[in-house]
Amino acid sequence: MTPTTVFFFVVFGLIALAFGIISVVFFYHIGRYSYMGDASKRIFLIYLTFGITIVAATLVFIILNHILT
Amino acid sequence: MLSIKFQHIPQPVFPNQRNDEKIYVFSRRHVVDYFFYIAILSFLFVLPLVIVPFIAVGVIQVGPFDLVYARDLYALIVGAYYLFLAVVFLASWINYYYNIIIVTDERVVDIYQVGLFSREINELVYEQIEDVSCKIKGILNTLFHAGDIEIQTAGSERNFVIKRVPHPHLTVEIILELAAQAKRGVDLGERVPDLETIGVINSQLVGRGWKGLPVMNLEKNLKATTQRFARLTSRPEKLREKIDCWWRDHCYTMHATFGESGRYEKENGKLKEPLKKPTEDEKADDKMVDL
Repeated sequence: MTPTTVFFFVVFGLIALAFGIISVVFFYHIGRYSYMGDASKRIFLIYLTFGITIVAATLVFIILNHILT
Repeated sequence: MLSIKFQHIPQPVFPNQRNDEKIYVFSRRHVVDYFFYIAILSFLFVLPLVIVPFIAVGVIQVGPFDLVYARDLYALIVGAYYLFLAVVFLASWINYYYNIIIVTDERVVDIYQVGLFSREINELVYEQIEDVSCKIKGILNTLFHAGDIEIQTAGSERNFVIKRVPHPHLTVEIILELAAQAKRGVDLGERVPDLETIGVINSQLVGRGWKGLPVMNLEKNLKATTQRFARLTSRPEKLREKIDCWWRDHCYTMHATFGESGRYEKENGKLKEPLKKPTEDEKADDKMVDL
């Protein structure tokens, strides 16, 4: 693993961490202000699933890129 | 060992709601208000897919820069871009969804969400209301029955302007009717709009002949949610109990609104705890509302 690859992983890790922290803030906000029977939790679940998919897909792409070349 | 305890905490529908306060209108801002964001976010979502070929050509032409790292960089930028887009989506959605107007037998409550961390809750009792008007402007508002409501207040109180309310005409009629009753001196528990449509709950009209409709829909949704959660969790009993508590509270509130307290108890015998029995005052209220 070259230093450039490590650099990419670290940068993306920081981005994913920032996303995680913002998600925690959203989670608190929705938990605090949502009303019974509203769509907040469902929308948050969709948001989180999308985010995790993006993070996983990006990591898989970077790893595959190095393995295949 | 970590254990999670589910505790039943009775929740009012909105903050500072009285126990016997009847809700006639509970409306979020109309979805028309979110159309602009949907259009912008959709465009931004497809943008990287459209410009991929151009970036690919650019990367090849870079020459000395290693193609492997160029691909990594591209994946990193696109990944970060979509994460940012997801954050923008949820923030804008919260900004739209948490604007609520609530009309009860006592007051009008306007919950106004400004961004993510700023929230205003304004209340107005009927005695302060001078006049209520609605304004429907533009094609989208006309097509989708959305409009702004302005409530003029007496004295030095500032006017209320509530944006993009669904069914604004009906909401105005209900507010005017309740305000008129308040000014005639009708007691709190006896105020019921003397109209064909007595309420707007989550954009659904509640008429005299079909007073149970929103409750029935909620029941269906909550049953489906209960079953789905029960399949997903390893401790279905605890979770089911919690969801039953939610349902019981909500059902009680909704039925108190429409005068059918105790219906859930009769139809569903699975509750471990008995339904909260209404007091004599609440029973009297229910009789008055039962149309």
